[in-house]
Amino acid sequence: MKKSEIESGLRKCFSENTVPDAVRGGRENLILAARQAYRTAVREKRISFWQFVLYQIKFTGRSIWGTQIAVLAAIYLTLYITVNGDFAYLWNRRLPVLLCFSSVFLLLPALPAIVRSLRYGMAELEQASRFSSIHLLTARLVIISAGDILMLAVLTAGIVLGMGQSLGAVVLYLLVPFFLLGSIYITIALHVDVQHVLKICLAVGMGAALLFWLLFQYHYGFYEHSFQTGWAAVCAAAVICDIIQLRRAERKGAAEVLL
Amino acid sequence: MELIIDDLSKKFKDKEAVSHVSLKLTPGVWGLLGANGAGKTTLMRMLGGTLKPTGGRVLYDGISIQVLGEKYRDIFGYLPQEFGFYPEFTVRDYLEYMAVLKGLPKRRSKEKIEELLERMTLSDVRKKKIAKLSGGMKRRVGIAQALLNEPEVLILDEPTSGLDPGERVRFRNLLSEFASHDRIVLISTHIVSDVEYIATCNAVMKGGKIQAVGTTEELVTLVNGKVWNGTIPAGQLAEYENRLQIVNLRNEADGRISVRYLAEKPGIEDSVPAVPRLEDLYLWMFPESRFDKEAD
Repeated sequence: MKKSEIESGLRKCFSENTVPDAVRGGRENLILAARQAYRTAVREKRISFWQFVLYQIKFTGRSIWGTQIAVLAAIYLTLYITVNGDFAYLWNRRLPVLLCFSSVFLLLPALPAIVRSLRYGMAELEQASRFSSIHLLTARLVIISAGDILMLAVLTAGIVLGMGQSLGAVVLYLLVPFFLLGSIYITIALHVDVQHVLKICLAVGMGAALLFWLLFQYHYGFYEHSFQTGWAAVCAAAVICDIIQLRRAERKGAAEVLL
Repeated sequence: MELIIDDLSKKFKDKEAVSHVSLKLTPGVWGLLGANGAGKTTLMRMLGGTLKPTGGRVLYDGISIQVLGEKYRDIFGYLPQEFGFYPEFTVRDYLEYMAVLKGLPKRRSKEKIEELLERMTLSDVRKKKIAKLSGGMKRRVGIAQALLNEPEVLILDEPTSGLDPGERVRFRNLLSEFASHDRIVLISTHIVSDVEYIATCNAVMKGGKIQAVGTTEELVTLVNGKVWNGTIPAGQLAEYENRLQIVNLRNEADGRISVRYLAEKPGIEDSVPAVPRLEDLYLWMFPESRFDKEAD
């Protein structure tokens, strides 16, 4: 609100005040109106959601991105030790399943961030503030996604440019499980009692890893596809589903969603 | 400005924690008195929008707080009974974090944090991790965060637990001053002295229902003629404790004990009626809380 608007608001209060300000009641009405006008003006100066996200980087971004880098480094080290530095061993046959495993493990650092508020007893206070739990969750998901996108880009570039693998296979076995699993995690976070979210998400993640391994062992045909337009639609559907769920939770007021 | 609680209820499985509560809160300090388990915290959570009622509604200036959503939370300050913090946070980090959640712009939040650190005498510990603070200091940090956005509706659940007597007095003065600027302050407590002298109005809650509403002066009339002072021989204290609801006692020099007790009729010979206080009403309505008081 501009200064001129505050002034015109106050003039309006003054002209609408039917009780003359010579008497106490009239003066009190004016003081009250002036105070309300001041408070409205102050309240209108609030940060936007995107500014809120930027501020969250300071509070949670560093720890989330730090964990994500650590996971990426752990995946690289595990592979390096397993193949004794000879990455050529992983090419072709084993690569798709390793990409699927990577997508599972890259999502793991996101899980503690989702339940962080409840874990440290902050959920109630956060829910009662202007940017409620849902906005906070969305901000954290934006931060997590930014880190994930960067890691996926690094992995994809490393495999495609560094190892000369097919971009189609890399995108299919890295991105599609990533988006689908991410969407499942968000669904769990929004619909399951938050005390069980971490356990259920971990179980789903481990279940997915087991499924990928079983498919590798007994149904290798699963890993012989390449990325096609249909898969892009699947990824887009997963992202749209996430957005719809978050918006719906926000409209619902989010009370008790994350408490 | 008014906050109307309209036929509000909350049921947890088969237990009704809050049952058809209606109350009109106007600017000033409101005391919500009740023993543990009376439903105060559940009511406050519903007022804060962190718990959905199973029945009824809360209206701020005639509009449901669920409809107002963000606009209501913008003018709302809340201190829950139990609140946590992220372990890596210093006092300043915590207040900054809460200021961001409340949507305060950086400059405004900086000014407000400095002001509150000063007022809550936390300036010296601003860089200290909250985990390392004493219980009273943590509570003060909690109170400071509730005041960050200069709320028009301030709800404090057991705000003085853990505060020493000096801090309690400072806190009461702070709230009195805060509420004088046309704001609604609701304090839930089972420590009567927290609200006895500063509350514009009190509501007494028991079994999920509001049992009485009024100013301190109005409420104490409910126990007029039920508060007595008498003296008993020291050796007979246990016997009298079984028979009477003793709220206070003092050892006299002559080996006798002066007692203040609650009863429909005098239960000790030569008893004289005493001027009732809010605490007497509280203990009359919640006789079981005598033990809480003794523990406090």
